[in-house]
Amino acid sequence: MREPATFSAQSGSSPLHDWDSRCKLAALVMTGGAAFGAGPAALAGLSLIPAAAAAVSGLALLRIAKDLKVFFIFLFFLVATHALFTPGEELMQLGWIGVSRPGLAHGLVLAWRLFLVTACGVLFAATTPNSRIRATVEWFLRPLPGVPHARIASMMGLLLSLLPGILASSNAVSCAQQARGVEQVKNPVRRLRLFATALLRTVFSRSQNLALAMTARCYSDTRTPQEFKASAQDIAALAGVAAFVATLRFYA
Amino acid sequence: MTEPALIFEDVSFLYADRTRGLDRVSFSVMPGECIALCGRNGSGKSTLLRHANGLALPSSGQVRVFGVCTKKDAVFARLNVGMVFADSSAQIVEERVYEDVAFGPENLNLPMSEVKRRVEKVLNWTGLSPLAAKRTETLSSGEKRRLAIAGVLAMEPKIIVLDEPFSNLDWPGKTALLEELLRLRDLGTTLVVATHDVELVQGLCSRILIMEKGAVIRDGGLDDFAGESQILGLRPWGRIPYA
Repeated sequence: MREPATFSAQSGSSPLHDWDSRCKLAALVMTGGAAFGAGPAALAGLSLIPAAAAAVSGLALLRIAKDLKVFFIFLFFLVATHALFTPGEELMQLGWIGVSRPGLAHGLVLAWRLFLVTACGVLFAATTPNSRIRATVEWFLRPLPGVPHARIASMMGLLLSLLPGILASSNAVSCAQQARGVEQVKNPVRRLRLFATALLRTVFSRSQNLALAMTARCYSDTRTPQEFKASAQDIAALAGVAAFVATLRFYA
Repeated sequence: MTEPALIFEDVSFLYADRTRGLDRVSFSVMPGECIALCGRNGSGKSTLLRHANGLALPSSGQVRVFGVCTKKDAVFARLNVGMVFADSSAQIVEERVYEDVAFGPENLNLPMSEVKRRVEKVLNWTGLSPLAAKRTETLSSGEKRRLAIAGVLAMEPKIIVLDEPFSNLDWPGKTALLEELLRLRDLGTTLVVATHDVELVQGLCSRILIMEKGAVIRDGGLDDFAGESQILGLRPWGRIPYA
């Protein structure tokens, strides 16, 4: 069985895998935060960060891209909607509807930002085990008074545990329905309803089983705290990202 | 006199739709005892095991683990009674083998050094050490079953209840698991094994409880069932070559 590529950590010993998860999350937040409101020049610069991270990660990027197929379709529709429905100078005519130049430009920038944030998130999730992500979130939230840090981290961990499961379940449901001739159902809405109902049922059942298994093993919010060790290189790498992001925000 | 490890006293359980899950079940298990729980599908075996672990609480009657009622302290029951689910995949919580075994001890808020000690000990014991870094969903059925048991053992419970542990395993998987259970029994662990594979556990368990429609209808030693191979649809007795 192949390892699921997206939303879950893949084995590896690359510098990105070994980078302290707190530094990694801080770099993700900095890059993602800077992407919002950034123009094309700053976005081009910021894109170098996930590009460099992906290059050293040793991850199967093509497989990840395949798993994100639906996301790319969403981006395409986002750009198309902006290009077709934003008023402004027309770039070309597609039948009765015109493609707007400012709409296309705005749509592309928006899609770029979303892609950048998603790419950083996927790289983080693909190189950091769930338990580590949970512990990192908790570490960052712990100093904040009145914030239920353990509970939030647990919820996040649960969500991350469920995401690969949902992907696997959707494949299984799809295969099971194909094996029973779902292609014969010509109405796409009915097919979608059949698929969604079965998937929801599977996901709910999976969540219930997960909750039961956790209860049986005495799950609680007060768990053994994870140990963190950030080396000088980890901190230097984070400082490098911070300086790069600050420079881009200032000059681009 | 030694106190029983587990006591069911007149336990009945009704599901939300008023279906009867357990019907006035009474029995006790002594420390170190190994019992087999048999009966047809839907006879109430899994429901009974969930009561032992405190995952389900009786509608009437009481379940006591080392004298403590599960209604009063379900966490005490979970600490002392480890439960291996019928579907091992449903029991696996974490991404990697090592992390999943550590899940229980971490819930107990033990120091990290103690968590590591327990996990390494259990991984060695179950032969899962070479798979420690492996993703849990890539394991075979047999490996998943061993991981489910390892996750329970890491919590060091005094009683282990296993729900159909031999289902979905090939013959080498079944015998390997049986050897593991025999080792556990020899270490003094109290075992309750719900199974259809009576012939497999006849060398492991000294006592058999037979369930039907939520009630325990027979409770006796192996000899009491001699010549009753067809009882409640169970398979005929056969000889298993124990090592």
